[in-house]
Amino acid sequence: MSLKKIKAFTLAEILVAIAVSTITVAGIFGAYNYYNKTHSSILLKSSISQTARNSLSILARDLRNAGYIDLNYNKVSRPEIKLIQLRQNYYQKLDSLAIWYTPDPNNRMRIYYRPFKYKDSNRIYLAREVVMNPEITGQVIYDNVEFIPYISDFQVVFRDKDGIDLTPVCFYCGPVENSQGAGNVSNGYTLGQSNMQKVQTVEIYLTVESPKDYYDRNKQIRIQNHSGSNGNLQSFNDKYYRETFFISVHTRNLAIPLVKASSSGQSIGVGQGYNQ
Amino acid sequence: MINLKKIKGISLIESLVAVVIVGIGFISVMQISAFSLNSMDRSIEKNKLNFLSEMVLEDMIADPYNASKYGGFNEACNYTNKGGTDLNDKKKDLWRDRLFEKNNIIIDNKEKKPPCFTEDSKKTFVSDSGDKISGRVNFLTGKGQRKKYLGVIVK
Repeated sequence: MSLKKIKAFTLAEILVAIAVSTITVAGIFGAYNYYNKTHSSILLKSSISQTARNSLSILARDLRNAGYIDLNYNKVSRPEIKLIQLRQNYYQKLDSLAIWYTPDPNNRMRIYYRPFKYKDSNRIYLAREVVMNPEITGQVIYDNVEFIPYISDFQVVFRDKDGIDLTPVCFYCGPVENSQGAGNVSNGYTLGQSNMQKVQTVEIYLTVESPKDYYDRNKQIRIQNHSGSNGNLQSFNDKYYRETFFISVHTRNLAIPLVKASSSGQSIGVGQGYNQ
Repeated sequence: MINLKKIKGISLIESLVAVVIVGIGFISVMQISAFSLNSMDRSIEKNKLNFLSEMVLEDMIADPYNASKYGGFNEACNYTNKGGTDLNDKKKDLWRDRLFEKNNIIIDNKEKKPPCFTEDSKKTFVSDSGDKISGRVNFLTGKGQRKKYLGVIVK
């Protein structure tokens, strides 16, 4: 049998074919890795963006309603002592926010925004708890469900009609507020209660972090939302991607700029009857 | 001896050309994914800007008797806080800090800033016709290509 008559690839041909296909496969593999990475970062960023957009819209709506007492509401004798509340450093350096308002003449809602730790990790989520008529029947609508997953920071700033940082503002006060004299009583109101009616603007700083690692190596990350005497500086050393969102809402039902109220900076809630 | 000219097949040159063509295809698809990553960033910036435009109008609503003082705000990429004791002065300084994300996030000692180009601007206008005051914002971003307008009747 003559070897020259066998049709087959030569060694050189096979080597060239292997080289070409290796290059091709390597290219495809690299492209796959690239797409995979891009896909996951797009997912992380879009989840952050969507979370912030949806949740901050709801939060802004709640703030616009904060302190609204329906003219015909008569279930609680002194609803004006629970309108809006800020607890500083509620969990670590994160704040908590409480809002009360009447959605209709017969019901009053209490909405808590509070940071909590996940059970299985040290990461934090923001919970929104809604309780209908907490002083009477206390019907729980939402019970501390995860409202904004994976947050790094939640700062709340109340400002009065002169744009000055307003603290303490609380009914259920914490150690920070008590040290600011929240319990001092004058004219039948504690300082924390009387300040509620002076809140003109609420600013919210929300830093959301990615659910999964984003960067390849650890990054030194510093966050200072709300600088100043009540501000908080936070430092992290991890791989999460972070975005800070900011909203500022005028609390229409609190320090409303009526001529009558503009001198004192207080709302119609102050005085002999809350429904004047 | 086999006559090579009679073998039907693909030559090395042909296969290399094919690989190059497929490669060009891959590169264009890679550009698409880079573009989508970029648009995600833009979407986040737009999202923030929407909230910030609401902030500006809310501040006008909150101070209706001085609303006309909230007009004439005009900032490009560099800003300095102007100070002042009136509410509108303080609010404008707050707008500046927030529009340029002052101190929000610092990564490896580098402040994370929103992209800003020379064509970009952040402006407010207030028109006062005696009995009616209306305010609006006019934010230009992305080399002046992306426009954000929002208006409100203050009083």
